[in-house]
Amino acid sequence: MTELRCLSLNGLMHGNGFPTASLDAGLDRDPHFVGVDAGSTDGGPYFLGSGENMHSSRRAVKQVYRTLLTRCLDADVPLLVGSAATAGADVHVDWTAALVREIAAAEGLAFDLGIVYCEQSIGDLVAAIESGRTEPLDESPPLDVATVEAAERVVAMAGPEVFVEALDRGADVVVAGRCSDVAIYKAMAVREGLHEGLATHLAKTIECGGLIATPRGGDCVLGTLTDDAFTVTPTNPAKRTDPLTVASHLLYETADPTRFVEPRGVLHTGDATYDAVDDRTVRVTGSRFQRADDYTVKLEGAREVGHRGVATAGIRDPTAVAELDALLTAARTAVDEKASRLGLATHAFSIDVRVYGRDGVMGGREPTPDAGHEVGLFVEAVAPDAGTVDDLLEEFTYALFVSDFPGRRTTAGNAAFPTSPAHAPVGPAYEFSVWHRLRVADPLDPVRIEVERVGGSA
Amino acid sequence: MRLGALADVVRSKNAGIHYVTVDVMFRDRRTFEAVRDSGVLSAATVADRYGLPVDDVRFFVYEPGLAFKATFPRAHIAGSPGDPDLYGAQQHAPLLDVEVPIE
Repeated sequence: MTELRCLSLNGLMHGNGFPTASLDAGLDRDPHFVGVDAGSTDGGPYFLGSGENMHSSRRAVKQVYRTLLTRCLDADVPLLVGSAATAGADVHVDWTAALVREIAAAEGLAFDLGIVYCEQSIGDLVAAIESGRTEPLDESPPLDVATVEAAERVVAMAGPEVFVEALDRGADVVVAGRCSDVAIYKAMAVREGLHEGLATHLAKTIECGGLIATPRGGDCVLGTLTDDAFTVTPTNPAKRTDPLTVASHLLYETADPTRFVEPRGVLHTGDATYDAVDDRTVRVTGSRFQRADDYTVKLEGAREVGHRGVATAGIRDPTAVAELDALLTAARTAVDEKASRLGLATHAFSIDVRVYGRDGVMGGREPTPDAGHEVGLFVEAVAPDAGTVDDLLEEFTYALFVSDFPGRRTTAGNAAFPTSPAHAPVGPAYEFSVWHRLRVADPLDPVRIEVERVGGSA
Repeated sequence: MRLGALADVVRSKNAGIHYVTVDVMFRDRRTFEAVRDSGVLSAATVADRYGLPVDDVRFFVYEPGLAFKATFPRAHIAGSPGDPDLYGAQQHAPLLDVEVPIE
């Protein structure tokens, strides 16, 4: 019977590190590869739009890669990294590849590095739109050329075939741009021609590493795939899994726990069964993969919507709290008038106010919008340039501070500002503008793969 | 009894950039079945708590995880200007107060 052992480093790799002892314990089990996901759309459109990586400094990320590369190359185990540097655009892939080359040179490591680029050219996207190969995903409107042209970057979310290709071309380490989390952990099984339902379900289960174990947290998980089942075990002896923790993971960040759309088809888990092998290992059977007629990849794009600035304020005066909507209307009116004097069209800027202590988190969906003895305001302005953002927030905070409202006694100022200045610039603001499906003739069509010899001189 | 007192986990998170999904999870099969059989947790309940049309709510009873799940459209595309909850991680609270008619 074939047996494939897959080591998942953790749920999301950036500069946060991981328990090295758990990696070592996993490598002792002689896995066929180590996988890690280094990206997500979870942090919002900023990272795809700006080309920056999420949260961590280069120094912190480099430290994590140093440990990971030296350990995996020492053990002669391939390392597969997906969705490099958060958004997996070309700039993120190049950033990560440069860091890997530096480590190789400094540590005297020599290996073949596979690099997968997933960014799409405007020309290719226009051709895809014109030939009817794009379709909306979820609630998105149909894709048009103007949307594509306005995007800062558009990436295609690659499937497992990109890792297979890089491995076939001799890569020991693969740094991939945007790819599905499942692709990282499914690739080796695809390469070996193993059961696609079980392989996909295993990939889905270990993509977040230790999140299937208790206590939860970033940690390593070993998955073992055979012809008729897979098992999962945390490599940290202090962590446990049971059928409930493993089955429950299918709820995490997914719309439907029984049906998962992947590039080549749909994984059905509705008939899967989960059994405890011991108090740390769970065995899963019964998953099914239904091939689609077409191979489709998700497109993700972000566009700049202007500059952003923010202000915070607290209101404690009881009448001001009671008349808050009148006060906010006065401040908004002042901003509208200022914008008009500046010649700004109403659609060119936005002011959003969240009232914490009332409905700041849920807005109109809050079933109990009762204000307490104080409320906090978070004001967000977006306008075409940073100077205009300053002008609008200055007007808003000033009007908030001085405007009259029924029963006002607090004539020296309506709000408490906790910062000086009372408002602050943030930087460019982005939104996801492309969230579509692209039909391709071959899984490798939307990507570019390079394999290069790296390092050697210490 | 309040759902928040009965469940082991009540949480929310983005499911892609257009949807928020809320998970209600149990460790104990009897409690899960009691909540399921009470029928108070449904697409209609979720729609009511969030002020949404019932057709906007996809509701799942997920037996292998002793869990219920509801997925519905976000008010804003995740991370756009005006979105108050980037990760969608604090949208579950209205379900904590659902009264389940069991002891």
